[in-house]
Amino acid sequence: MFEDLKEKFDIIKEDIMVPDIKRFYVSAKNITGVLNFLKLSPSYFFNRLDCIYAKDIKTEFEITYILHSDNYQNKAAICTKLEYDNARTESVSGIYKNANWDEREIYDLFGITFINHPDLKRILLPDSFKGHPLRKNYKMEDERLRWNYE
Amino acid sequence: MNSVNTNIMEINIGPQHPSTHGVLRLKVTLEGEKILNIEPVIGYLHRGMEKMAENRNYIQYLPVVDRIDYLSGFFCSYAYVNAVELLMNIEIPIKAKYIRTLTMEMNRIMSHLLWLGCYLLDLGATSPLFYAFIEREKLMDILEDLTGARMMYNYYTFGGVKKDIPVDILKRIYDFAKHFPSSVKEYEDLISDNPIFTSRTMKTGILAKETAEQFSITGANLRASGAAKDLRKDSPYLIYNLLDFNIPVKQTGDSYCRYITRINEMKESNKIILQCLDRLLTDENDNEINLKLNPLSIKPEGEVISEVESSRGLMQCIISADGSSNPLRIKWRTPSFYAAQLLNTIAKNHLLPDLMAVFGSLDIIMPEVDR
Amino acid sequence: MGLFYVIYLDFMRQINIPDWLIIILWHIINFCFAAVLLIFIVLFLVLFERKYLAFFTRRKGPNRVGLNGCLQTAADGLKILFKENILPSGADKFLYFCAPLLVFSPIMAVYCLIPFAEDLTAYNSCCGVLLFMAILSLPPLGVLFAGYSSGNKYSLIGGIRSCVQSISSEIPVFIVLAGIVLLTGSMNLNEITKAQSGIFLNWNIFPSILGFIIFLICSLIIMNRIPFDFPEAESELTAGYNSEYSGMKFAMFFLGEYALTFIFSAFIAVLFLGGYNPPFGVYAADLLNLPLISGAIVKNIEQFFWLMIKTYILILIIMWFRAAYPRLRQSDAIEFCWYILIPLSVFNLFILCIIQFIRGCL
Repeated sequence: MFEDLKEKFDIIKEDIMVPDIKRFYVSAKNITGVLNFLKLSPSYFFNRLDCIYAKDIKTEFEITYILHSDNYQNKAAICTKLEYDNARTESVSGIYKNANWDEREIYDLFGITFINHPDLKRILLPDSFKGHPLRKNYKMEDERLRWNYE
Repeated sequence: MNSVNTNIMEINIGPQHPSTHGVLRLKVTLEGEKILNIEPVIGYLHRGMEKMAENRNYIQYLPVVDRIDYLSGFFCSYAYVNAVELLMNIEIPIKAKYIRTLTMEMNRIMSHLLWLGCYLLDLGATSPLFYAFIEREKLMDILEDLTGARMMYNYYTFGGVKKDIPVDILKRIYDFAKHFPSSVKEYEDLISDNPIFTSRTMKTGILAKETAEQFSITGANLRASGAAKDLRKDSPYLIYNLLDFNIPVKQTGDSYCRYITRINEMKESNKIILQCLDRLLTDENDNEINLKLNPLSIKPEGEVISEVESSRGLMQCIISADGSSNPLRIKWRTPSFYAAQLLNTIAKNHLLPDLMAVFGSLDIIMPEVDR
Repeated sequence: MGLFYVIYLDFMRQINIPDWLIIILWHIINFCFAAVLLIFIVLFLVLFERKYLAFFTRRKGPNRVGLNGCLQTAADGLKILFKENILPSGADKFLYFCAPLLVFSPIMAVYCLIPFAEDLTAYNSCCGVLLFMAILSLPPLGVLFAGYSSGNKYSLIGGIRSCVQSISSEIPVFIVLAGIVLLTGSMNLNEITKAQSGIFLNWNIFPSILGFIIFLICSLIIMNRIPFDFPEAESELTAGYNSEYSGMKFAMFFLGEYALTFIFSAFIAVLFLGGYNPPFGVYAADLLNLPLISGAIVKNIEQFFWLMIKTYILILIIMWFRAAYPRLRQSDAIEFCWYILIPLSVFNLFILCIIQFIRGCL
């Protein structure tokens, strides 16, 4: 079904998420193009971005965009891998408005910077927090949180 | 001192405020009483639920999951348990499916009743809160006798539910469900035609269908704007394809429509409860409720998205598992997170009293937003 | 000045007190009685409202302190006396101190104007109606002072809302009062009550039913009660103008609201429901054929009793509104006052002119 997507953009890998959701790995520079294509093209109409989330696999970050199509009642997942240091990618808040806070949360908890984001600052943690907690190598170094140490 | 701008005032609503439904801070820029800009500041209730999952077993994380949204504990629990069951490719017994549906619909009624009471309290009417809580207390007593807790139930497990429902509790639920439509009629008679209520909620906070789609709003907020989308009908899970119920939809998308949609949702949930009780009370043979898995043998692999239509919208639990006994990453997609983003768009150019009418009608709960 | 003054004068002349002191002491004693009445009324009314609202919501209200909760208000008052008096650092000290006084003292002063019985008027002024409303235009000013001087943006919004409210709601009130004065021919509250004596069809509510409704609505606005309690909108401004007050200053705002509820209901009862007159014009004292002085005293007690019943019926209705209705938007309420209530009150005045003309012809 996603034949024209594979023709138009360079798909690095394709696999399946449970239950029956196709997942495509693309490179970070193609993300905006892929999402635009999937939103506007009439054979897909992925009109809703369910969520964006990031994962920390020890060597790199992986950001996944879950898209949902009301017309065809199916979902798709688009993934990119980013390197650990200086992880940057393009923001999609121009395409889907709800990506705004999702990307702020990923910046807050993982430290991935989104280019062209309207308002990139910490959302869930205090502004003066040091570090990005959801990384696997996060050590709690903030002096104010020392009560938890053994 | 620079020139003082005397027209525009920036005030801070919250984080401690009776109407913000939890700890939410709104930076409101006012001109007189007209709102120019709202900036929500969240994170006061951030508990690190997603990080907690990485240091715990699947079975150790199970009691924590109820607290993602404490008013809809069963929905969060179901999303998590269903995700693991999908990864391990197991099918739960049919009676467990009925019990899960029954308890989730009871939870939906409880959540909507609390929303109703608190919404009217925000608008200044002090009596409907107590009337709504009478029914809610009945349900809480039933669930306390069943699961042992009034709010954080910890009732579902991988493979089914933990305890069977005894027949006398089923009879109490039946008595409640028979009496509940008259209570809903009482709320409608008291509130729906009240001219003060309608003048404060009609034509305020209008949410267009296109805006709702762009912001990924789901649940009653979307259905009040004209889109008939409900996960229980679009891609049915559990036994919803066997049940007979309607989806209440209204067209205009203002606060009054959201109120009417939720009232109708309570009636539909009641119908579902009666149908589930029909099956549970009549069929005596089928008694298996739990597959009795060994919790230490749960070491799934893969990535799964598990969705549920909770009282506030579409809730997803996304688990990324790598074959070890702890999950690699659990992501919670909660509906209130996106509804809170919506505030600036729909409450602009309203007056300050309207802000509370609009905000209350969106049914935003802070533990869901902050996780 | 009636029976009690004669008794008092006799007694004072017997102990040889000079005349000028007698007159001064008379006014002071009257005011003290009115103040004591205020304290008892307020103590009772706070508890009454809590129990009444609890009855509407299937609860019991306070029932631990005292017999069935009757000492609750005293306990609350005692607790408030012991609280610390906080002064916010951004507050304007003089206005912060004056505001509760400016809200509470006019209400206390107004208790002297209402005729509780034929001889029980503390200050029987010849323009009681005008004096009542004039003195009661001071509490909204006190609320504005409280809102401004707290140095808090929420309080400022609350204070300004109270200004807007008082400006808009007092105009229909004065037009309706003009109608009542027209019916009676005098502004003296005692005269107004005496003109409604006899059977209850003489009460002013019957020619002026529209005026009664307008007056009731505007009195809710003046008293800052739900559905019109904008300066103190609890779920928007969290206590609005009195958010920075604690201790006895807060108690003055709080008790002032209940004192005002009572005295305004008494005012409405005097103007429209016949004041202290019994419904059918028959006094038990007359039927029992008592001797002169004790008969007069029993008659006064009876009149006080009738006024209290009418006042409390009005208070019950006013508190019922609180239990049943949510709060309006202030812009809607003010529009209602200007666009609907003022034309209606002028229409009411017009009807009363016609009725008075017909009465004059008959």
